[in-house]
Amino acid sequence: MFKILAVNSSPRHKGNSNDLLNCALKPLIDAGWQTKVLQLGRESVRGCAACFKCFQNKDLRCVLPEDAVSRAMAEIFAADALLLGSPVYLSDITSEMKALIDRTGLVAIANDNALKGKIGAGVVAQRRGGAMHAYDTLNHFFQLSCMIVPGSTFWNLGFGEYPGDILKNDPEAVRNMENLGKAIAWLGKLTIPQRDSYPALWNRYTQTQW
Amino acid sequence: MLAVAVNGSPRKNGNTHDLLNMVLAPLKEAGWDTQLLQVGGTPIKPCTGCFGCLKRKDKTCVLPPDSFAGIFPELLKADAIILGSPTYYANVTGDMKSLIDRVGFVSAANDRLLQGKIGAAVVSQRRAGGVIAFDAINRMFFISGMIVPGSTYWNIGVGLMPGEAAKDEEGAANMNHLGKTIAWLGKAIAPHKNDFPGPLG
Repeated sequence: MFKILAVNSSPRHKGNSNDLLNCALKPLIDAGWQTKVLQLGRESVRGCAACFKCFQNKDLRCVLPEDAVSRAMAEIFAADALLLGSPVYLSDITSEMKALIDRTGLVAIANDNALKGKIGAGVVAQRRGGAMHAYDTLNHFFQLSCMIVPGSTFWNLGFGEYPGDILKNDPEAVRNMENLGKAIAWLGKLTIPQRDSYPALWNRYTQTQW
Repeated sequence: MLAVAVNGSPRKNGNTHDLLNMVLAPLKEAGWDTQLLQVGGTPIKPCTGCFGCLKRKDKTCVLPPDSFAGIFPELLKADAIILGSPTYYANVTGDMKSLIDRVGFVSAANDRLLQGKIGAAVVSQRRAGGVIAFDAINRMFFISGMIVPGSTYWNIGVGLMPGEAAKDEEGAANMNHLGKTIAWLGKAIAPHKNDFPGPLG
């Protein structure tokens, strides 16, 4: 059974970002995947301290005091696929999501690129604009972590201001997220069983002198 | 299996060309057929937004034949498409953008010809801005239902004069890993491309 973790970094736990994630998860539930939505928004989290202790310890953990990021990180490493959902704050993702991708990304690299071959997709809720920049930020995390990113019918964004707006007023976004879920199901079935043969790699970060 | 790379630099044998060849080398070793085509410095008109491709739906662009006409059919045959560009003002070259716009739209107009294929962006930069050009190429892949493999870094090589990117050790390792990853991914998904979920379900 394949596992996908969805992380919602909106401080509104039942808003538009959450709805986008659930639209994408629906086809995966239908396909028999184990799914979970983790609420990261509004949690107190710390940013990466760049201490590089993760490279010394190599235990798939971050040494900062336990918080919502370290709990999410453990679930991310245990999952086959990852969906990151964020609203748009000043043309980018929320700070909780940035803390998550910074720390998870570096811990992964420190541990023989622990995310390699997993599937990742970002979904973004905007009122008016800025979603593309936030979407690019999420993809940057996947693309430098050796993860695989499936495209869909459009870039994974939806238009909404108040909770419920996307489900009511943006059918194109709903269809896109559902297509994304199906694309993840298709891709996962073909690649997750092959993860053991993912090509070996050399990462410059492991040469760090920190 | 076929990988088609397209060089968006007007310098045919510069850094972008070298980076693309670094990606194709492991694919050749894995037994793939490969092609390296040139769009940079060739005559290619920008998309005019005429929607002729949507009206005709014959897998062509209605503009008078230019270098797009020689490149697009090869991309349709490919299992993996690798687009390379130098960084011009933190973006791709005009020639590459014209290609991206017309390839993306003609594909979309003909019921998403590119879906399920593998796409990768390769960029050369002197100092900065490469990741933005990288994003510009990837956006066409994502909206076309293509699959984009990540690597050890965003696929960027650093160099100004021809030959310099080849000396960027980290960039070279990135391109080599990208080629191997495309081989790994293609083996897993190319036989099943026709099952990729279409836009209507």
